[in-house]
Amino acid sequence: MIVPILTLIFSVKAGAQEERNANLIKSERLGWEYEIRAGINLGGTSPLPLPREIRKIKSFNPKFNGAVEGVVTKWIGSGWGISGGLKLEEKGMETGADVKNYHTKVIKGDQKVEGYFTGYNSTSVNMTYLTVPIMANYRFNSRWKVRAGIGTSVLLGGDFNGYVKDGYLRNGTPVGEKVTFSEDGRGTFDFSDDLRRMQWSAMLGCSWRAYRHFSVVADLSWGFTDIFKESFKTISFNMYPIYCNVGFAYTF
Amino acid sequence: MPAMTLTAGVLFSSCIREAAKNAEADILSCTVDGVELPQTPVVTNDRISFYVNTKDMEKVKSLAPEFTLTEGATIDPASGTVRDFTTPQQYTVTSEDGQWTKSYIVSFSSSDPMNEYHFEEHKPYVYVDTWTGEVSYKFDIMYEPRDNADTLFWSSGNPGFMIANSKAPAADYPTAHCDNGYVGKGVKLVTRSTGALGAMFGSPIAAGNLFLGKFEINMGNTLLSTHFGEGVPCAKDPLAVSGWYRYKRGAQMTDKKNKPIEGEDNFDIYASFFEPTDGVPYLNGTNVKDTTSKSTTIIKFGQVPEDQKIADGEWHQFWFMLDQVSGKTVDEKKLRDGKYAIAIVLSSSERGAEFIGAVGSTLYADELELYYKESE
Repeated sequence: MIVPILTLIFSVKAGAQEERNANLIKSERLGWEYEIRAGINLGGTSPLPLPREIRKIKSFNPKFNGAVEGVVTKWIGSGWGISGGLKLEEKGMETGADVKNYHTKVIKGDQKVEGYFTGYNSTSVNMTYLTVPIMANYRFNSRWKVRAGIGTSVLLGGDFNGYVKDGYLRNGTPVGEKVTFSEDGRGTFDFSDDLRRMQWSAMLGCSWRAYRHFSVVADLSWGFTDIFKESFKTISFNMYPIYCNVGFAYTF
Repeated sequence: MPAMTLTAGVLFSSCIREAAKNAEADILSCTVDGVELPQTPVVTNDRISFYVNTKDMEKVKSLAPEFTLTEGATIDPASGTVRDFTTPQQYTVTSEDGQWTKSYIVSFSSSDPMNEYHFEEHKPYVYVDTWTGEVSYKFDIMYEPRDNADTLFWSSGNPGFMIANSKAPAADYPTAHCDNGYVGKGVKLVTRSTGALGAMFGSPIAAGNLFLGKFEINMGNTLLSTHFGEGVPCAKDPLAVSGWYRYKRGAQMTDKKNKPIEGEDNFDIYASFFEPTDGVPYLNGTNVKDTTSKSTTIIKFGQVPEDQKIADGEWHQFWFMLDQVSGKTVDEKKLRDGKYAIAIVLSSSERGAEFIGAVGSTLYADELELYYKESE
């Protein structure tokens, strides 16, 4: 979804570049700076620290998560500036782990069991957010600038699902009846409906201006609200989206 | 990308914390000295059943079984404590983390089969919600008292029905006791609908069933959930089974997609006498009636004949012989040593395992008898 949008923005941009008109130059003199950034999000949605239930990470796929952002910065003097943006981004990953005594709820056929699972757990996360980052900026020189702030995100759509296999689930409690799962007798879960709509995160980033209009950017976004609603108790620990965005910026 | 995956993996691995102490409290296996065990003791989530030869029943007054537990767990009384097993004894296992305990009933019984089943006794399957502390009576467990205060438990598919229909009252389960048996109480098996959710996943009905053996939910293949004859040694050569039943068919046959189909429902009662092996320690839904394949472990098999199946809702007697499977013989020594086992199975829909049947088909059964050859 994001890749076509990106292409669109850049093709529009290529045309607009030549028409960089007097207004833009004027507003730049007044301390306004306009940017379009595009990149990919790499990271994970993870409990912190890793809970003891997770015994071994067997696979991790960061997926290709697109992100595009429009940013306006107002430079207010002595290198300081304040910026606001609007960012459409994907945050996702796929991970497989051996877990022990991991509280979950799975479905197999018409049966639903909740309890403590020991075995292999595969989780796939895919979330699309609309984020508004508000950040303080500092410009060392014409090439380097750094920024820090907070982001407010609204979940536009999200999936959190996966399966368990090669293990057993104790129904209800760790001493409950054993329900076994094999390679071809997987149990699946889908907690997509339990994802929280609003997400807050701390953000930290920097830009390096390579050419007059093009910069390389990197931004770390550290979510500090659980990705699930408070009422969601199936997974016994909180999970936070921690993603690093790397990409390019075009400055008008 | 692979390099990054690797980096992330290494990064995560370094964050793996020390494992929490075990929360489980299982008895994994058990042994006992001083008495010969003709078959491996049966360990379930809360019961351990040892079987001994009848001539050894005297010895159970003073035995000291030993248990292997979940790592770090403790047991009270301690493993190796001498106790009198004329009546079943209770043990409590506490998990390594100290947070969870589980009680086990340990019993010793004769590997001879029971020959009369009266269906007078049942007890509740009690479910305690750990979080709310709420105690609920889920369904009936039928059992038969035995001489030395031990009991023989009948199994059913009720635990499976419970998972899909957690709010159902005990009387609405496929298998329940009934007060109006042929003599005293009896058992009532009803083919039930599992509701919209069940239908969606291809298991729209649950036939009432009752069998000697164990039920352990297998999510991958429901046919493997029924462990027919597990823990039911039979040190006598079985000849025939008789009993009383009354049966009424449900109105409409449906298939596993819950679509109405032609035909009429029927009940089923059968018995399989077999030799448990390491590979096939018990029979299940895939092989309990398989008397033809090369790999079968069934020695003798018998079933209520079609012409005896009367569906008029009145009490009738049934009777069938157990016939030798071709090429199989009963080995006298193995028989004496309790190396054989028996499964007796009752169902309100003969094709219930394939989820084909008529909702409402009701089988009452009572006063079952197993006839066997008295040893010389």
